[in-house]
Amino acid sequence: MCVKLIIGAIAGLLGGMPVLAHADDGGDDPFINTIGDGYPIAIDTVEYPNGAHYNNHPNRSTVIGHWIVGRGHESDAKTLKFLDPANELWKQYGTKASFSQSASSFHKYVTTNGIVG
Amino acid sequence: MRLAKLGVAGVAAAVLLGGCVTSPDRPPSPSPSVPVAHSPGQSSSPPSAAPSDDALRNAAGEEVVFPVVEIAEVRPETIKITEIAKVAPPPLDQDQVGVLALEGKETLVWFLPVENYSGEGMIKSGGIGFRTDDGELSLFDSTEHVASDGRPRGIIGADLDDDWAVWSESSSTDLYQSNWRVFSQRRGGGAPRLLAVAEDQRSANWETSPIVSGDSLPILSAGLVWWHTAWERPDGIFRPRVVAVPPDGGDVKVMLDMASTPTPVTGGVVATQVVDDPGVPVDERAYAYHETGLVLIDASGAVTDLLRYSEDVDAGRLARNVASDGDTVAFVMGDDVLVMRIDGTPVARIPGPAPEGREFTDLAVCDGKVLFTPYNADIGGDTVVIYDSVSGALKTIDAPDAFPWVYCSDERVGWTQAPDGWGIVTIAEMVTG
Repeated sequence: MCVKLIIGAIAGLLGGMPVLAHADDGGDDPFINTIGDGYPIAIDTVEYPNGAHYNNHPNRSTVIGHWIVGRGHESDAKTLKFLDPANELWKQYGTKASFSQSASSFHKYVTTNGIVG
Repeated sequence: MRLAKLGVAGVAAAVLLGGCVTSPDRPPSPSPSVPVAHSPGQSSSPPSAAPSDDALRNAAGEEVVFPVVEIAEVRPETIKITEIAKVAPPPLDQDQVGVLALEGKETLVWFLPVENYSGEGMIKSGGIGFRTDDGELSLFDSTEHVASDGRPRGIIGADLDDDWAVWSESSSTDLYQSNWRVFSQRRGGGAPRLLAVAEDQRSANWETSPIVSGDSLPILSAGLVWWHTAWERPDGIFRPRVVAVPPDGGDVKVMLDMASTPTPVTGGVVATQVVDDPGVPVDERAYAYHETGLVLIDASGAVTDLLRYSEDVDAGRLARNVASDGDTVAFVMGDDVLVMRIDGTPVARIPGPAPEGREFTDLAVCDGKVLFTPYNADIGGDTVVIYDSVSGALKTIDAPDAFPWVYCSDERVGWTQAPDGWGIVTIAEMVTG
């Protein structure tokens, strides 16, 4: 079984604030470490109305909670690669099966719930 | 509650799909098929032949080729616009407001109690109403207790015409299910009236309906309210269908099974048609269907082809983010924005991505004009593009820190900027010429 699920609070271990792959501190980053160990990583995101949304998710006036999968990163660790399991249901609005986004711009989606390594 | 498991199942599927990974991933190889856009002032490459549109056929089965309109080569005019209003989110310790739709000089907005910004769930129901250009809200009567499923609801989509406002509400806070409710209200006043609920489209075996093609978003066209919904077929499989009802209520009529995402055109709507993948066992059919093209549906339910995809079309060459108005239809296909008429005439292909990897996503179409904001999630957008499909004029508006969400009416345009990460919608006079 090559999928690693540590149901625990990585965010809690890090003092409550989830960390998401900053190039400068990649050595302590659960995303980078988990990917580096050869495992995907589950990420619990939250998108708020009027706030930024990723991967063309809809700008409803409801909060959106959504799990996605971190699957890799570029060599400099500044750009992360994700799989979005909602792609098939939202593809007509441009939601893609896989997408990339910088760690710095994606960080805001995990500040509510954190990530699971 | 069977559908509650769908989200977990979806994630599990994605995790399994992801499987083992290696790190770091190789950088992608350059793709020779991606058109390259140039900044204004940059020297452009020699004109090239239009990309093949061999995946597209019109109603007569003939190949459809779209004339290329290069943003760089036409050197779009950057224009000053006349701002009318800004819809800016209040401070985050206050109730929030956001734009839903423009019509004429009216702005329809959602309202959301601030308690919903404290976590992932919905704490209090939102509402809907008009906002004056001076910022005064005139909310409709609450529908919180109408067709309640016991959970707070928010607005997920809305439309306006000269006489009516229509909208849908849902208690869902995920991307997999929706207990949608569609309402209408006369613009001049009165009370909201319930037009339909998601339960009408499924058996009693389910507590919510799955999302099969995005949210159920009502639009007004040809005297009817149209939307798509997940519909439970006799074989127990959910598929999309387009339905319609008069805005003052009545029986909901099935306009076309196996179709989704209706957008308004003269006399009816444009919708995406789908078919089941052949030969798939019943228990594996949840997502086993594919798109075959765009169709026109008129108010009587008559269906005609607009565009057909070839059988072996690549998933990247299907119409996305379809928007329309009058006789003009626009959509994103691959990296490009394509514009055509409802008589099948191809008008333009605007190649993307824009400079700095900005992609084309959300589109708005009003009175022959196509509005969009090239957007890169890492750096945002910096311009709003307005392509006049009648005159051929291509104009841009400076919009630093732009989000992709755009709006329009025959008289106004709206676009979103987020210098602090929260969307501010600027409403301005429609650009002419």
